[in-house]
Amino acid sequence: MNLHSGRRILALPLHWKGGSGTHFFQLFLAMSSALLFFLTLHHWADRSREYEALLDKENAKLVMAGNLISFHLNDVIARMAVLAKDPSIQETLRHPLPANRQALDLELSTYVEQQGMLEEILLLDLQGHELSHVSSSRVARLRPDGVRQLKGKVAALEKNQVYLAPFRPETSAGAASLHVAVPLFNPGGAKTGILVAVYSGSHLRHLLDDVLGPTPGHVAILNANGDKIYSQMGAGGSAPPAKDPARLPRTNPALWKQILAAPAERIDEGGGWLLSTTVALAHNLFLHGSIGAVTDRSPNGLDNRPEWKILSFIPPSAVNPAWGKRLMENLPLYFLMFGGTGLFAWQRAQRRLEARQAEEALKTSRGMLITVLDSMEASVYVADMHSHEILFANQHLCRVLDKSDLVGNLCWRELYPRQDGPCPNCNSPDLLVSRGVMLREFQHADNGRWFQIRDHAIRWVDGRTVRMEIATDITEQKESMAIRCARKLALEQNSRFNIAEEMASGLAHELSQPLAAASNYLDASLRMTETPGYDPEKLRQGLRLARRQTERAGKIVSHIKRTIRKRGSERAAIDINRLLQETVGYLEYEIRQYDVAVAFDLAPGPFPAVVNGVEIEQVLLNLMKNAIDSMRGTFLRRLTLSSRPTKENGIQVQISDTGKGIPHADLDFIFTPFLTTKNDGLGLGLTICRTIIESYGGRIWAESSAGHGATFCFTLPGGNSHE
Amino acid sequence: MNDTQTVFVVDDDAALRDSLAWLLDSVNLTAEMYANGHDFLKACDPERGGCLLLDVRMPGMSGMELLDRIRANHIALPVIIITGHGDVPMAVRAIKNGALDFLQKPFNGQDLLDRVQQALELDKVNRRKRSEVDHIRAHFKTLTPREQEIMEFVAAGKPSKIIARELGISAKTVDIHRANVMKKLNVKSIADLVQTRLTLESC
Repeated sequence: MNLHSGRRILALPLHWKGGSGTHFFQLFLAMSSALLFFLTLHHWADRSREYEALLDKENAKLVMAGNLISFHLNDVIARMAVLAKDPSIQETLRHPLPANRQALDLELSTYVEQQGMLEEILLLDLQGHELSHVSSSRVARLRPDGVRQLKGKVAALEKNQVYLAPFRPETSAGAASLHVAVPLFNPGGAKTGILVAVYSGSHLRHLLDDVLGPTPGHVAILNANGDKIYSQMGAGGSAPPAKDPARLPRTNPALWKQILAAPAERIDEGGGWLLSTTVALAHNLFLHGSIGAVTDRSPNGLDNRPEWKILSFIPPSAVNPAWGKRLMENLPLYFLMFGGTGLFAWQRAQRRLEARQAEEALKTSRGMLITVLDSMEASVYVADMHSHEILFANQHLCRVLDKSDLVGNLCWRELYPRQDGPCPNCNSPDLLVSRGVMLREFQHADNGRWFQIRDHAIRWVDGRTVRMEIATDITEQKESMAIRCARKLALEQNSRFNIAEEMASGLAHELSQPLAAASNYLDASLRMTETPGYDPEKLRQGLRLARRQTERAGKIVSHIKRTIRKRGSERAAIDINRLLQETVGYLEYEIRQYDVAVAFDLAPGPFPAVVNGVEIEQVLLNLMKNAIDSMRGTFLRRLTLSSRPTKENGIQVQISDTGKGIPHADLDFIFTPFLTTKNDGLGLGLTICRTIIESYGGRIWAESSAGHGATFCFTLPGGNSHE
Repeated sequence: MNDTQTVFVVDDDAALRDSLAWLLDSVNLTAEMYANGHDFLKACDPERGGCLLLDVRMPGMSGMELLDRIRANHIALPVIIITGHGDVPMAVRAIKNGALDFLQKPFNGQDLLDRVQQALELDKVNRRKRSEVDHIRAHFKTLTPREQEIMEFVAAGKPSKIIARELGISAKTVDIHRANVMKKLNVKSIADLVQTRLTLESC
């Protein structure tokens, strides 16, 4: 029963798991959500990019327009100030005769023609009578009530003050205009009249259109507080859509405040007139379009100059009228998009969480890595291959160099302060062409300590290839190694001496018998000759016996020689090139210890010689060891091993060093037994070499000149000639 | 007493043995050759005078071993060690074991002969001394236990009266024993008696 139910429980999840349809559906959902999300994202991103680009463009145009309008208004005012001093104006004011007025009319019309944006210009006396009135369009804009208002305002103006008339819509279709009134004074300082310029709204609009391009937005000139509109223009000079600044479609009061509070930028332009322009931009994506504001404020206490604000309103339809419509049409699609992206977003959030966790883990592992690197009893740093700038240095190195941080400094300057440039043997170039790892040993010149230097070419976090160096202090190892080696050497030496002694002892015993016997016979014979009447036959016998003993001694010697030689008699065809390379391997320690460079100059192809490998190895070892020994302390330490065929179908091996060399006079004696230049040598090494080489019918010799190294050569018959 | 002296040679090398025989013969010395230590020990008679030339390095019983055995057997022959390859420890050991001399092969013939002569001289002296001691010992053996006792007292320098008191006998009896001792040991004075007593003790 239990078993049965257990089986059913077990079966259930298996069945559910088996529903591959669920998987497919999930996959489909995920894929479609991803597609929808991508499409939505793309759509939105495109739109917002487009819109932002447009706003940027508008913003730039507004700045230009604001500057231009400011410049023009200031220009108008400046010119009016100049005009006010015109003698004909003064003359007309003093004597308002028709001749004078006609002359002035002519002059003013010329002036208006020159000034592109001036529509009308009037000269009024203090009572408000027109002394001159010139209009470019021949349609008077300034109505008597307007003149009256101006008269009242201007009467209150002091010298160098200008009255800027507030916005007055003239007609329903007419564009707004700006009235600039300047009081006129006689040389005595008394106020004599008013000069009024009507600044055309349509002209302003055209100017803005020139700068902004034909936009369907609205442009307004406001006071600095934004609560007073001086001039407002609709699209294409149409009627302004709003009269009251409060009704302007401000999107965000806070933003508006921000715009007004923005610091003014001071521009010195227009012959000493100080202008400052604040440009601010507000935008509300999709729904409200943008508000641009250009204000001209005079924060420097020059009260006589007006303050303007130029606004441009760009409704959303102006940006792209089709967008709003499309948004509504595609609403179901958007709903689908949002629904699909919901799931996807959730998964994305999940993934982002995982990514964050992974990042945390990475950070932790990075921290661990740094901790490990900092706790290492080795100096580790990373430097740029070319600039030698240190990109990372662990604590150990900082401690060794007694610096708190090394990053950013140059490696050679920190590590070798006495150098005035990168290390001459910097291996960065080699690292780039080689396998990327280089190992060397190095003794520090200051403290005499030995370091194993490991250089790696690694890819740095920013992708470039850099050099990582790990320097481990191996002084202790090296010393103990040296001691071990010396002990080993001493032991070897000792055992060699022991063997030699044993051999000598055996040899002495074997030889001393016949020699002693012979000596005895001869002694006896000699004594016999001293006694009178000796038996000559007996004497002869004694001598014969003595001779036999000397022969016996000779036989013993040759027998021993034969016995010893017998040991290395197994011969086989061996590739000399390979033997050379293998033998160098045995001397790896010495080569590293004395920092000897080994060069091969091997003739191509295998070089078989029928020899006893151990014997030739012994010869090679002997010669190489001698070479390395001779290079101790010399500046250049290069061991060159070469092989080449001889004319007699044999092989010539050459072992060259750059050591102390052999004086010419000694060259003849170096193979003589028991002659040695070493304190601890037996003087048999080269003798043994010669014996071995000659036993194969080869030849060994040395070439050297003192101070220029030595070259030992030997020949061996080729593989075919010696069976 | 046999006055002829023999040079005994123990060496495993036949040629050396033969050549030594020739050399010794050339100076009219009697020589006996043995190939190994066993042969020598078998044939050795302590009564025969002479000297022994002994090779150190031999198969079987080595020269040093043989030297030990000779001493153990109370053979008083002077021994000259001959070696092909000598060193200081070996020489020390040989001398400690009573070897007279130490020669290294190959040796000068004259050198060897000189040393052989020295050894033979030494043996001669030794033998004479030994025969004297033997003589005294033989006389000493004829003394009665009482006479031996009295001799000890006399040699210790005690007067007859004191000896008599210590032994609980009369001084006259002591004097008679004393006269017998002097007669038996063939000595004339107390001083001779003391000398004889010392010679006996040293052996």
